[in-house]
Amino acid sequence: MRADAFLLVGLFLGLVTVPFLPGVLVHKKRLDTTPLLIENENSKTGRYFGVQFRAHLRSLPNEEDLTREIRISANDPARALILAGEIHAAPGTRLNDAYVRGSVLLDRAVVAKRIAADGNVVLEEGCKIIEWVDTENELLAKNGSHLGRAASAAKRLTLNEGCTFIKLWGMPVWAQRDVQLKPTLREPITRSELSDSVFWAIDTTSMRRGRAKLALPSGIRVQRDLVVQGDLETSPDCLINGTIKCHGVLTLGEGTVVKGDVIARKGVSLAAGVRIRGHIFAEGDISVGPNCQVGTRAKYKTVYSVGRITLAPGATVYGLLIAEKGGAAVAK
Amino acid sequence: MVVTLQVWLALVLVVMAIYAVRQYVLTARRFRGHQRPYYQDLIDGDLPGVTIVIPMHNEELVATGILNLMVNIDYPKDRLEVIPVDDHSDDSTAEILQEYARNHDFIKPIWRRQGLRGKPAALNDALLATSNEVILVFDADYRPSRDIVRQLAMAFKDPEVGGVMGRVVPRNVGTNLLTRLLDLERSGGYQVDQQARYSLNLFPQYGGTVGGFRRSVALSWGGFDPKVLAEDTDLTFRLYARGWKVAYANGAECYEQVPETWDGRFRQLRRWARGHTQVLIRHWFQVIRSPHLGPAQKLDALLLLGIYSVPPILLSGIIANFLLFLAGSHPLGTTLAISFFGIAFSGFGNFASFYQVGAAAVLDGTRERILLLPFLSLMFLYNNIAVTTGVLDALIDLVKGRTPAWDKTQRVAT
Repeated sequence: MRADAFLLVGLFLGLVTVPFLPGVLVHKKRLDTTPLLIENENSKTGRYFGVQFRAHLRSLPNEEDLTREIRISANDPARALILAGEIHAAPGTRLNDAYVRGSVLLDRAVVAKRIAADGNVVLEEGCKIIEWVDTENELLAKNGSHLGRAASAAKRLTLNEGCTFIKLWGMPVWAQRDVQLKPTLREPITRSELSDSVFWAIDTTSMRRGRAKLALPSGIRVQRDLVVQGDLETSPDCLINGTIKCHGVLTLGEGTVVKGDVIARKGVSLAAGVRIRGHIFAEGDISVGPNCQVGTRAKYKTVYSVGRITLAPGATVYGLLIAEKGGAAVAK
Repeated sequence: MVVTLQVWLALVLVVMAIYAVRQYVLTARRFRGHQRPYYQDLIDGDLPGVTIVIPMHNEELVATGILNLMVNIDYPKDRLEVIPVDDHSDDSTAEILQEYARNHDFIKPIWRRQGLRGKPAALNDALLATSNEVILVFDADYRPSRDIVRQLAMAFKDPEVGGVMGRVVPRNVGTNLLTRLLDLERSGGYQVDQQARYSLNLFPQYGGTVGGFRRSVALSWGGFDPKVLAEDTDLTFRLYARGWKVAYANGAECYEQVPETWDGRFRQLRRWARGHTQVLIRHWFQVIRSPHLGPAQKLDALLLLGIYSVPPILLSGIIANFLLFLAGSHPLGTTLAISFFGIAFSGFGNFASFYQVGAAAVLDGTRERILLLPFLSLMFLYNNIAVTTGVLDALIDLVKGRTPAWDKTQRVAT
């Protein structure tokens, strides 16, 4: 009886101890003791890949040692290129990594992995970037190009119809059918254009609790931040002097001007000619209508969507676009 | 009497069950559901003015470290103001601050030599010394990353956000078993618990450091109460009571130094429990009555308020169970079973805490450290003693009307 009791107690203690044994070994051998990695040095920039890539290339050979010009055919794939001059890839070519101090022309259906250029970059129809493309100058992506994980240009980044993307940076990013056209943006609505008959000041505190759809009539002016628990729809030519926070679907009517940011828990739809001085942050899809403008040349901003972003012709964004589920330049 | 004890025991079991369900729900949500995005991807050509407050009391061992990082922080210096508050230090903290202030215009120290010592009082002085709307707070032993100011400040683009909280990551993980266990505990608390509460639109908490708030809002109720030990929890509940929200930035990570001695850990936890209980007493009724909170938020807020009360409640249940045995109401087997269940529940941190910590270890991509999980049961038992002591402190404060003194966590040289 006494032996049984000892056996039971011993068994119990043994079973209690077993789960601790792997931990004892881990602790004694000092396994996995480093702190979780925090990227202490990295700062968020719209041209992250290009900046990092150039940082790795600081030990480039002298200018005179670099290849002046190269032409690549479909049967002659290159692994990594560093060029002082320009690159012109023939239709159907596959490129890996390229750093080009001149300009880049990728002909139709070229597939490239990573490209960093100091000059202009032109992607002809149907080109595909697998990782990223970055330029110190302008970038033009023609119809049906895919811009990989990120595309960035220190100057203008133009997207033709059917181009798809995830992350874009440009000053500005411009969706346009005809690249010869200059952006024709409407001037911001000034106070004098708003007649007294449509001047309404809204007490936004009363709106915090409203859950129904709120529709703002044409020409209304809101003096401060606007927080709406449900959906919000503005008629044409409204002016919001603060930030809009919308817990439902947000639809901004033609010519509406928002001087603050736009934050929506669902989707955001901008009609033609909407101007937003601040960011757009949406947990749903974002549709940017024709000739809309986000940000200004002096103050770049971000358009961020957990879903998709579509850009209509003439849509202009100064700064960064991120579409977690992909974005596209559309016909209208 | 027996009936009262039986009812109490039943209530204790219900409380335990509610907390267990809470932890399961949060863990499941973190693993499977949609994760609400934070604003860290917003980059801005027109950043807001930000003031960083660093309360310091005898911080000579760590002051240089954080001030060097402040100098290198990636934020326009014309939009940034750093206010280290020397709070009654009697070591060389003041000299260190003077040197940095001489060399950097944006570092503007405050010297406090009068009034109550403690973080709330230090924050109040800093609020009066600045005009920036966005206030961020770091403890002196913290090691913020270069981009963290922008990440945290972006939350205030949302007009509903009154406070923001980043993620704290221990950096002295490998020092001893305690630091390793605290590393696991922190992972569960931030990576899973806070993120899930943010995603579910519940009640993420401002944690007093690696976070921030709107200056005008804090001043609207007269700033921080110097008599409150948990000024962070107090701020959280004041914000929500007025219709503001707290955003959680899981990607805004910052290294901290966790206590390396069991005594240090005990005193830290005791202070937290004492302060948290003060806040519970102040705010529970406001939470119930608040017109700004929905039913789910109220429930989460009450569970958060009550979280440090669980160990003493559990202890009272075990005592009730024992008294019922003495009264002949419960047979020995039932008594032992309930007691064992209570102690096991207590030791395994509401059971489901293990799921939170385990889930966090998986999400963080850690390797062998997850095998230390069973040791957490020992730490949770230890925690329960510290927490119970802290709760009793708070109750005695309430009865005697005494003001608690600030008990600073000891630093180690880096």
